[in-house]
Amino acid sequence: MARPRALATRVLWAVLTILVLGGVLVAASTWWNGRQAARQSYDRILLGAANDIAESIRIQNGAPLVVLPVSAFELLAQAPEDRIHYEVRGPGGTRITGIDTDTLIAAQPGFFDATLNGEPARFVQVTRRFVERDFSGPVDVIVGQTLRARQAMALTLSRDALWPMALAGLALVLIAWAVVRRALAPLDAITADLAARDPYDLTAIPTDDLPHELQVPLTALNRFMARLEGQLDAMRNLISDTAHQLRTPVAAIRVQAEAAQAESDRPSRALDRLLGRTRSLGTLLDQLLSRALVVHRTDSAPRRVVDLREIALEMIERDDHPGLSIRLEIGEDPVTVRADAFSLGEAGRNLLGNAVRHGQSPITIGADRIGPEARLWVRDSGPGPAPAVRDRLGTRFNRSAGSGETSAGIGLSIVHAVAAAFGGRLDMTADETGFTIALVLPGEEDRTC
Amino acid sequence: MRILMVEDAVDLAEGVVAHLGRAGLTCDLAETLEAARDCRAVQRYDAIILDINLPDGSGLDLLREMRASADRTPVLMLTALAEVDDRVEALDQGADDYLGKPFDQRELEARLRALVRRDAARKEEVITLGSLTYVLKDRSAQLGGRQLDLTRREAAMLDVLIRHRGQYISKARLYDSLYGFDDADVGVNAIELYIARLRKRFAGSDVAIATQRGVGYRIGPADG
Repeated sequence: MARPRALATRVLWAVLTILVLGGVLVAASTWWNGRQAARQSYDRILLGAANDIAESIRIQNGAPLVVLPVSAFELLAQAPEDRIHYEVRGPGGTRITGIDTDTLIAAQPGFFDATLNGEPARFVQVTRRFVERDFSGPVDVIVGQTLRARQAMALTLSRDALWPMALAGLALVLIAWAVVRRALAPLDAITADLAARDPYDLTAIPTDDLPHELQVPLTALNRFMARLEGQLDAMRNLISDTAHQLRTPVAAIRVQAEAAQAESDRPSRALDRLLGRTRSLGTLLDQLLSRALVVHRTDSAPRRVVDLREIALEMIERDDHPGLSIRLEIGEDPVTVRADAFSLGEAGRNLLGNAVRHGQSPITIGADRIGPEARLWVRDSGPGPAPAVRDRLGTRFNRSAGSGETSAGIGLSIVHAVAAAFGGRLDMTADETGFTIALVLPGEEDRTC
Repeated sequence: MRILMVEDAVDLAEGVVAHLGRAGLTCDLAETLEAARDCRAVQRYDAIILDINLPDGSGLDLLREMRASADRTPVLMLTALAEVDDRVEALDQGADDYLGKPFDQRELEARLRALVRRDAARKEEVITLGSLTYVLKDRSAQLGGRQLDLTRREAAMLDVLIRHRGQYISKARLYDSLYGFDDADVGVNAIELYIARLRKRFAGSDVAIATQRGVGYRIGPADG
């Protein structure tokens, strides 16, 4: 599909079309006017010459005698390029004198068009009536001239008229260009502003001093951004409120259960279960909030260049894993991606958490770069989940038989959400040495020293 | 050892008080900031457990008051928010440690004891470098009067660097200092990242870690 044309181009094309159409009309009318003017002036010359000849006819011995006057030819000589024709015919069309032609000219009274030796020409016929004693009757004088001088004159007239018009047209195009540019300048400014804007910047675009037509869409856009920001704020508040309102009671339940257990003399299965459930409730709460926070942040937090090696290190630093053997496998060079460090940290934490819960020690955490892709991976020495389970992994609240009471299946869905948000994917491979799960993200060109 | 717990969720607080009591720690309970101020007026405490959200204000206000009046009683903040910003703010206001809800009571007890020990140790073996104070005994550090929230490995590396302040320490030597953390092996490439983490913590202060290519790292006063 062709790219839609720019607004300025569209307006300019319209202006140009109008100008060209107008130009054609004006040129045609000028040409027609020039021709009329040329015809009128040369017709007068023809008529003058014909009248001169007619004046010079005398009757001698009962027959018309033509003495061709020089003035007539001087008149006709004003069109030096043209061939001329003259003829004097007596009554009944008998030829008295004239220039021979290839074809007989079918004369009509007044002006008429005909061909002169195969060339278009203009003729005039002037009739003089003699009523003398020895001759009476009409004598027709026919004078003709080819059209070259007329055409040349028409052309000169039109050209002289058209030159300034063409210049005016050109000036109009330039003015139109300037006007269009000027009229669209605010639009260009807004376009530049929007292009330079951070995608997570939801502050309103200033609409003062803008034309009315632009204020309407911009106000709508500003309203929309304000609503979006309101939603994001509400989400943020909801997350922190939920965290606060739920964590304190969960903490209290846990403390009470621990107190009850400490005070009772004999072990109670119910109390143990209560305690276990309360602990996993805390974990669940953490994960739910973490997921909500990750989803919220991928919408609202600006993306920065992050070194996946630092995320891997933070995974090891953040939580203690007593009794487990964990190795960090990183290279010397940064493994950079463009993402949100907090979200990546949560994803990594869940990957490690899964390996600790379901996998076998030793566990290796690593970050590396393969071609254009950056990977953050966790490998444990276990066989990994069964293929059937693997396909369903990552859907929220998917719990397999082995998940146990401490997991709600949210962990991997966090990782999936993070992968999706930053244009990556989740890779799982199992071989004899163990099971590797990797968060694969498009790598960022390394711009640190 | 006498502890003050400032917490408005009475059932939670009473459970904790009972647990600490069993562990031999005497613990008073204040449900509001007002009650906490009254308690502190009549009794000296070895440590304070402070909730952030209280009916008559924020626990951070009390913390600020204490620190403004040069009261160095160790404070452990309880926070319902696990977000990083929250913890950073608590530590910035002068808290010595924090714990997110819900928490393990044994951990709370252990941390309280550590705080009190650190408070005692502060009067003993301390290395001072500019605005950085390092307590050798428990490997804790304060920068400009604020407790640094160092991880165990960060603390181990800072320990080596600061004991040999002014000298360049090789990467391999720093890596050796991490020996003994048997739960995880981070590899020698991680040293650079740990140095970066420490540098981030010292950013803007008068303490800096210099790098000599091929030789190692050195902690010292920031130049210029």
